Amino acid sequence: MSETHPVLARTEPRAVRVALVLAALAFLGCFLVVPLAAVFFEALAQGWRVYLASLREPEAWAAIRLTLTATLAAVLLNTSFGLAAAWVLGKFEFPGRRLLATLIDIPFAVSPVVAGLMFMLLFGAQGWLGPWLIDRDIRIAFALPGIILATTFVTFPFVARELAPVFQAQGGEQEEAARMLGASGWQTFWRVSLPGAKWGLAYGVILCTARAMGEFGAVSVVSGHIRGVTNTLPLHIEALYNEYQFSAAFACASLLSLSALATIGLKAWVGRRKSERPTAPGSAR
Amino acid sequence: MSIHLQAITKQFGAFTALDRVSLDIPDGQLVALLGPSGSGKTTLLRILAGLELPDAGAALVSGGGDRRVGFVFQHYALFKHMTVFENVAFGLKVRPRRERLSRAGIRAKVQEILDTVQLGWAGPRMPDQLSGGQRQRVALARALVIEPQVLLLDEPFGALDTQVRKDLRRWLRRLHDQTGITSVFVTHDQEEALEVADRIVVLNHGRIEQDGSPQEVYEKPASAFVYQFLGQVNRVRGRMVDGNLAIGGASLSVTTDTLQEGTQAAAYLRPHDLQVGLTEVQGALPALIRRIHLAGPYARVQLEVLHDATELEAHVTQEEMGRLQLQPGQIVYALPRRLDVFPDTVAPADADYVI
Repeated sequence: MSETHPVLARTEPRAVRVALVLAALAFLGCFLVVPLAAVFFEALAQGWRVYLASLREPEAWAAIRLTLTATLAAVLLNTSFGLAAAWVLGKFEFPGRRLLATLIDIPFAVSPVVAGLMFMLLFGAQGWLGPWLIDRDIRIAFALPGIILATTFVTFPFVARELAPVFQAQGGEQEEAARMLGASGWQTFWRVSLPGAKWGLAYGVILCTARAMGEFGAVSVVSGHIRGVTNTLPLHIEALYNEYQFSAAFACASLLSLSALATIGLKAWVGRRKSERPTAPGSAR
Repeated sequence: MSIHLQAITKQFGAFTALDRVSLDIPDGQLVALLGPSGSGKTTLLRILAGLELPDAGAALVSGGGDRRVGFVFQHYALFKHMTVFENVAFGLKVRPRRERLSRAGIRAKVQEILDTVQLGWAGPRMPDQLSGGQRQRVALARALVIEPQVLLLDEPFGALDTQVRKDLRRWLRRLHDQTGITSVFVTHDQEEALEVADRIVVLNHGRIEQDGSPQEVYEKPASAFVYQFLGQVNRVRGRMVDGNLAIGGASLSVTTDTLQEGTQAAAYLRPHDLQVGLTEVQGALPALIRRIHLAGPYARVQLEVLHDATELEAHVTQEEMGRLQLQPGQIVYALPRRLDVFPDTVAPADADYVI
């Protein structure tokens, strides 16, 4: 091996290599595989029938639908905002560009609970806009709009941060070439810039989706925990757990874990496609 | 389609890229914009393309109905996510519906132009599966398929290997002879400009130094800069005395009506215009032979002028070499057959071109 792959030539003794690999595997086992397996084990502890019944329960079903709705809305919003922000950051040089790049990262730095409180301070009954909203019977806090807002805020940076370096790496030449060939601004964007960045976009959307589905802190503050109405899947799991309904809690948790595993698989596949393309350098994260 | 540029000026911050450049390019000409980096040649090309707007002056393109411009970028700028076929078809597909060819029409036209650039087989390939020379031909095909009335090329062969660029520039010349499209290309390679172009415009510091046929520019350089930039040149510095250029004790007879008595001046002469002899003659510079390179069609003799140690290079035919039996260390007399004198104001940075 070492003769045919000089770059991979190994210098450590075999025993050291085996020990290192085993240590890494043991760590992964203790902290990832065993807990994840425990979730599925607990979920199925009382059999398939109980498992399916706990997912079919109306409150669980409502939580699943709410999570999917909020996720879809947040991903759609963040894809459009993210595209616009990444375009501006990647294609133009202007005063305040660095400031904008920093602002985009704020949701990563702010604790989700604080983010939730921010929205309560704005839209809650005692908040700045609260009385005005109540007068007009517009409900944001303790309702779907609040949940979508909180989820969108927390997941805002993913698409923009994935795309901006890709747009930047494209440079202006391909767009100029398209222009010289008679393409309009829209045609250039849809046919040249965006397809050239599609794997970066897919990567950002996947990360955003995963984060949106699992969001707990911010949503916990704005939702008001109304069962079957404003409880998302993570909130519903917590409620069940606190009521000692372990089988039901783990059944819902297993669903969330499955979606996370699917996302990771998808992310790995897209990540590989992305790195094959010279237009998309490694992600900024 | 002809191009008229009137007093084009372009600034980038404090840097003047173009300083009142005027240029007329008649229909069907193949013009080289030649100059070192920072001379403004690429900026001028981008203004012609409409990719850049001049700060002052006017760029007019006249002739035929719609003015389509084909542009070939230095680094090809191919659409990396599209196949070669889609790259070439792009310019046809983005046309407004009523001007657009049918799907079959586009297919036939793209295939035809790919055949022309000898890449008929490459349609389904992705750009990153092709070599540099092949990518450049795809870029040319993509620019040509829209039937441009002007073809603009920015350092088209700059990023290619020597052999490939030689082939491609002959190919470009043939293509121009066949199509007659008014073409302008930017280069910093004098050999490329001399070989391909009908006309060479030499740019330096945002101004036109000289504008003429390759022969004119090479044989009658209008300035010291052009002398240095095109081809190999020797420079001998001296002072004007009695209408001659005095260098130490020797004096070169020159013809000039612009240089005042007593001014510092420099004579420029090509290595093949320097005759090496064994006996002292009027107007010849005594010099020491430093080194002789025999490889090649002629011998390159490196000389050091005795008075001021100026280094000169003379090209001596093999026949002459046999007759003279030159050896390193010998004192010889170098007689210029032809030279031009310019005021000696060349900045040291520019003098880097002197060989």
